[in-house]
Parts: sequence; C-alpha cells; structure tokens
Amino acid sequence: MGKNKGNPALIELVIVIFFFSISSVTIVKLFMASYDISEKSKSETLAVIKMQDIAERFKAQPNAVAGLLEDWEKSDNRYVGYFDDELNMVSKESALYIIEITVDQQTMTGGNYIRLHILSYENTSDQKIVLQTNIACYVPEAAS
Amino acid sequence: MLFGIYALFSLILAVMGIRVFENITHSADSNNEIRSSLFYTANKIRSTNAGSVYLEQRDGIEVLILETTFSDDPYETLLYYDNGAIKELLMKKGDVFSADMGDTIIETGGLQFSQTGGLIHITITAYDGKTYSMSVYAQSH
Repeated sequence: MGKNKGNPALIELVIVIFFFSISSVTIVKLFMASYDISEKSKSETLAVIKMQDIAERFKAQPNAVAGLLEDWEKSDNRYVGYFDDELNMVSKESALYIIEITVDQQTMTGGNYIRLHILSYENTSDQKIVLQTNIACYVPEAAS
Repeated sequence: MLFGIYALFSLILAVMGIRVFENITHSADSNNEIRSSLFYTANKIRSTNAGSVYLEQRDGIEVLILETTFSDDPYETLLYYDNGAIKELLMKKGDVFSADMGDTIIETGGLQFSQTGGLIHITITAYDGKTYSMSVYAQSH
C-alpha cells in the first residue's frame, strides 16, 4: 500500500507548478495587454498633436491648403504624409504613421466651404486606424 | 530538479514582469510629459485674446508672453523653460521678471517657441531626447 503512495512534497510541488503555470500565462497576457494599451495611448496622443497642428495651420491660412501640404504626396484632392515616432516627415518605408487628408471644397454664393477629412493610421499591413477627424472652414469671398 | 525548474521560471517571470512594467511606466510617463506640456501651452495661447501673444527675451530666457487685463490693469502670463521645467508666471506688466519666481507646470527636457505670423510653434524635448512640435493659431479661438 505504501508503494502506491507518491511523495507528498513532490505532489505538492507539481500542484504548485501547475497553478504557477496558469497564473504565469494570465500575468504575461495582462502585461502584454497593458503594454498595448499604453502604446495605443501614445499613438493617439501623437495623432492628436499632428491633427491639431494641421488644423491650426489650416485655420491660419484656409486658402493655402496646397502650400501647407506641399511636401506631401498628392493625387487629385488627396494628400498622404509619412511620419516617424517624433512626427517628422520620413519616407514611406521608414514611417510608423501615415496621415491621409482629403480636401473637399464647395463653392457657395458668398465664398468657399473647405472641409478636410484627416485619417491617421499605422504603417503596418493591417493599417490600423489611430484617429480620424474632420475640420471645416468657411472662407468668405472677400478673403479668397 | 523540479524545484530548480520552478525557481528558474519564477525568476524569468519576475525579470520579464519588471521589464514590461518599466516599459509601460516609461511609455506612460513620456505620453504624459508630451501631452501635458504641449496641450497646456497650446490651451493657454488659445485662451488669450488675439494679438496679445508674442515672444520676447527676458533675463536671458525666451519667454512666451500672453497679455491679459484685470480691472483695466494690464497683466502678463509668462511661459518659459527654466531649470528642467516649463514654468508659468502671472505678473503685472512692467514688473521685473525673475525666472525662479514662476510656478513649475511640468518637468521636461526642453521647450522652444517660434512665431510665424499668427502661428506660434511650440517644440518640446522629452526626457528621452525626442522632440515634438505643434502650432497654435493665436487668433483661432
């Protein structure tokens, strides 16, 4: 009968290791999730900074969108800029973030209504969207 | 043997946890530093009357001056970088400025201002050496 009994200390250690493994997996997952949230928060902060910067420059000179975005890639009314983690403009290959701006201009009786749709996303294969917003400004004809 | 493996994995997990926690803390600190310094300064400019925001050298320091009026008396809010921190000082126009009189807003690696027409450009240098810039249109509110 005594032969069938295992060493109680060994059994206890196996149980401890089993629970340790489960808790380890949980803790590692929590750490990873926490790190992802922290990185997402930083990406959003950078996107907000860049978008505010664009918005303020646009408000300063609403008629000069093309001049404001002269270093950006342009196709029709769409501008694309590539940025690193300090929001400096870089090449597409080394960019962490991509910002796309679509300019929509409506001619009205008394002036122009200019609307920018700004979309910021990560330069990854899944192009995860960080932030998007719209900025609009009415420019009276006299100011055009 | 089992106890050895147990101890080893415990140690690995603890070291990994410390590193991840350090990264998270660093990232949160950096995020807070960037956000607080840039957005605080930008909102200060936005809340000031148009045309009364300008840059000046005072006591050898580049100072962003935001003019306000209290009971018809002209006052200035000064924003500047001194001793590793962004500082703010409210005083009556014409009073003698001394950098150490200001209240510390947030500690950061550096702060620079420049002006192009109505646009005030704010550049902060974070403690990790990275720089971040933002422009504020002084008449945009």
